[in-house]
Parts: sequence; structure tokens; C-alpha cells
Amino acid sequence: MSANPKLRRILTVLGTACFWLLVWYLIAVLVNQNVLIPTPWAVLCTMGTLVTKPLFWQSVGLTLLRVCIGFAAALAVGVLLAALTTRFSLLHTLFSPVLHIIRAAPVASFIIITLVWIVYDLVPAFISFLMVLPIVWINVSEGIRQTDTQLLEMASLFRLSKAKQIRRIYLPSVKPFFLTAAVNGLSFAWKSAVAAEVICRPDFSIGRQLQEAKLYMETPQVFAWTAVVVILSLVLERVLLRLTATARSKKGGAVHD
Amino acid sequence: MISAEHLSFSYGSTPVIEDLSFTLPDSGVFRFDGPSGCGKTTLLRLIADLERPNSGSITRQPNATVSMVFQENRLLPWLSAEENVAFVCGDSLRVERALKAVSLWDERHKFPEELSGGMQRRVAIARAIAYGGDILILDEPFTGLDEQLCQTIADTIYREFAEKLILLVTHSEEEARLFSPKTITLPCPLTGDLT
Repeated sequence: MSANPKLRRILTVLGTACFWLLVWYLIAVLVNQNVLIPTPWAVLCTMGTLVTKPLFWQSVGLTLLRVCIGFAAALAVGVLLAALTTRFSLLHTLFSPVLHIIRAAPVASFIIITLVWIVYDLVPAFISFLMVLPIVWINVSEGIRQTDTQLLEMASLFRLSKAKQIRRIYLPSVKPFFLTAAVNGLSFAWKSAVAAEVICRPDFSIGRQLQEAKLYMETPQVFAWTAVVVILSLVLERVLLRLTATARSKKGGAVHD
Repeated sequence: MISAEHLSFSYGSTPVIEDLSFTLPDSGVFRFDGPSGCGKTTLLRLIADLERPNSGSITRQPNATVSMVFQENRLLPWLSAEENVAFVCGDSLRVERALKAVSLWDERHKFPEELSGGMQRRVAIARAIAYGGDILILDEPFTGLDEQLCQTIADTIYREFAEKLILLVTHSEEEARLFSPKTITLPCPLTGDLT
């Protein structure tokens, strides 16, 4: 007899989670030092306390805002840069080294450098933008390059405007690449924004709370804030996956234009 | 009128057409015939202005529009059959007439992946018919279609492009017979004065 696949998936996820919680619990009991590794229960209690404070929601809200601003800006600028650099080879030559530097240099270097240049409050959003930008740029460029030249040739034979070619051929061709970049970029946006917050310590930020918890040796709080980051990241990723699944399944638009 | 003078074209270092000259009138049906690989499709692409000659010139009537059924269907996978035809033609009546001519009106909402190879071919033909134009280029147009349907489609093409120029490339004698074209036998390699 085969169980319902959805139920089986839920049970698998729950089983795996329980296994690792048990491993964590056993290690915490063996170490027996709350400051080194708190038990899952202690972390859960800390989280329970945190969510009752306005500071928690202010920190989560503003971190989320910084991530969203950086992420959205990276999507917009990444698409624009991809369009320009695939169209003009000179721009591609000029911008390629920048892309390589962003990808190769450690994120901490960028955080420290930008901290010198711009207001510390803006650094997390900027770092988030900077880390997601190459992902969007590379993926969308690849999508543009892989656009079917036979379709473009057909469109030019039938004398279709460039605007119509972009709307009807380029955009649908690039869409899967863009969506993949968005899904992959989101986790980068999170991780880099929180890392920047830890170093810049802007008011009302998850990074600042993490750093302060570490300073006061409040290890359960460090774990609790980390758990919050992981949960939020997963939730956002699920929402984006749901949105992209809807976008992927959508076919073309109006019949006559 | 299409006039080609001392036309030469090569793909990289491989010459395909060398010093070829010909003229074609404004109307009529012409079939380019010749052995495989002698450059028939390349010649059609030069006429359609999809390739630039390395030397020589090819001139068409100013503002002459070209419609074409490519060897490949070249359908947009994210558009339905009707949308694919409407993509090149803003006149919904022409779109409807073209789809009915290829017996695909009932399937118009289906996407290419939902259509058989033959049906996809018919969408490509409907697109060329709906677009109209002064010159119709047909490159192996009826591959994968049954004879009865080919006759109906050929009749429609004849009617729609009655006073226009139709250029045909096909390996099938049956397919060629549907259009009763004037055959231009191409030399291999493609060189010389065809007129």
C-alpha cells in the first residue's frame, strides 16, 4: 500500500527535522554549557521571549526592507546591464572585470570598503544589491544570448518592430533565466545583508541584535536570531518559488497587437 | 522585379554562389531546382534579404515586402497557433481566413507543443499567408502534410498571391506540380547568368 505522496513528504521533512533536533539536543546535553551550545528548548524559549518585544519586529521589519531594496535594485540594474552588455561589446569588455571582482572578492571586504564610502544604515542594502547583481546579470545575459536567432530572423523578415521583438521574443526567452536568478539571488541577498548588518550595526537590524547577543555572551539569543534569519529566508524563498512557478506556467499575452 | 547581378556569397571560406546573375518578374510562380546542397536555400535567403552578398547586388522593387515559409516552422512556443499568426498580422480577419485555409481554426488556441508536426507546419504556412506581401518564398513548404490538404493550401496560396511573385524550393515533384511553376534549373556550383 502506498501512502499519500504529500503526507509522505511532510513526514519525511518532520522526521529529518526531529533527527537533527535530537542530535542538537544530545550535543547540548553532553557539552552542558549554555554559553557554548544551548538546547533547542532554550532557543525556542528565547525566541518566544523575543517575539513579544517591539524591538524584534522593528529589527525584522527593517532588515527585511533592506534585503528587499537591495534585491529589487539588483534585479532592475542586473537586467539593464545584461541588456546593454549583450548589445554593446565595448560595454561588455568594460564591465566584465567589475563582474569578476564582485564575484571573487570576499563580502567582508566590500562591507568594510562601502562602510567608508556611504552611511552605515545604507550599507546592508547596498551589499545585498552588490551580491545579487552578478547573479542576475550573468543569468539574464545568458538568456539573451540563448534567444533563438531563427525566431529573431523570422521577426525581422516580417518587419516586426524592435519593441515587439523584445516583448514577444526576448522577454519570454529570458524569463526562465531571470526567475532562476531571482530564486538563487534571494538567499544571497539575505546572507549578505545580515553579514553587513553585523559589521555596520545599524539601528533596528537582525545583524545588530546578533552582534549584541554575541557581545553579552547570550548564546541562546544568537541561536534564536539565526533561526529567525533561516525561517524568514525559507519563507521568502517559498513565496518567491510560488510566484515564479505561476510566472513560469504563464504563456503569451494578447492575440492581436 | 528582382534583379541579381554578379552575385557572390560564401559561408566562411566556402563559396556557395559565384558571379550569379538573374532577373525575375513581379508575378508568377518559379521553382528553383537543383541538386541538394547547391545553394537553393541560400539563394532564397539572399532574395529575402536575410543574407548580404559578398559581392554583386540583388535589387527588389522599393518597399516590396517578403513573406516566407522557412524550412523550419519557427513558431513562438509561448504563443498559441492563432497568436503566432497574429504576431505578424494585425488584421484579425486575415488571421482567421489564413487559419481556416489550413484547416486549423478549431485548433487555434493550442500551443505549438500541443500540435503535431504537420499542424505546426500549417501554422507556419498560415502565418505567411496572413502576412501577405509582394513576394512569397516557400522553402520545402509542405513537408509532413497529406496530399489532399496540400492541394487546398496551394489553391489558397494561388488565390492570395495571384498577382504576386512566388518562389518555391522543393525536392518533391508532387509538391511542385501543385503550383505548376516555371522551373529554373540551378547549376552546381551556382554561377553564371540564369536569364
